[in-house]
Amino acid sequence: MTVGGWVQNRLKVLRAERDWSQAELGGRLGVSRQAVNAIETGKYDPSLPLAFKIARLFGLKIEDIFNDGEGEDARRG
Amino acid sequence: MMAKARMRVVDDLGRGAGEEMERAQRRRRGVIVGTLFVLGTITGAYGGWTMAETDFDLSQPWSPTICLILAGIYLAAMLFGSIALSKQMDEVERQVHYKAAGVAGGTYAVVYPTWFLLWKGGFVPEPIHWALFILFWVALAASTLYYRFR
Repeated sequence: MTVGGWVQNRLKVLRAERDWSQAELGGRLGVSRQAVNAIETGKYDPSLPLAFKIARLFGLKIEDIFNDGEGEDARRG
Repeated sequence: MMAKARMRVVDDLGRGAGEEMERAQRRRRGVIVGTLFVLGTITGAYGGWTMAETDFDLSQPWSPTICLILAGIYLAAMLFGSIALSKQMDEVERQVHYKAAGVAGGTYAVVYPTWFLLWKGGFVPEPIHWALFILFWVALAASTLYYRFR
């Protein structure tokens, strides 16, 4: 399910699971704390290279983190 | 498998290492912005002081040497400042700047021709070049703040 046309993501949950601050995640991704906040709140959809970097960091697939409401999970839900 | 291997590398970073990297990036950015701010303050103060001496009469000429120095400083600051800042910028901030530049350029593209035509029709005074320049920067700053903090 998308809100306002934005892609939803689980970044905040994944970050919380590791007890990382937004700055900690930003530093590991090479972006600012504000950028992490913008992605988490759905104000900004990351580029494909950044999405791959995020997926790699958490050891997941991109579609396990980002959901545009058109995938398998969305259809099941 | 590959993801797990890469994950280990990231996990090898000590706790707080990401925060330290983020802080370092912010520090580098702060040094660049601070340097540009100091240069802008010095040149702006000199320009203001020179204009005050001539009662803000812009038709009065300035010292050619000083003008060359100020133009050189401005060009260098714009050129090297932009390059240095763009290297420290992430994609979110870059997009904010793209959008803000579009708004500022659009403002100029709308205001100047309208003002010019109204001037030609005898409705308003002739367009003032420095007012248009300031308008561009005000639009740039306002839209940057809007896109960053909305």
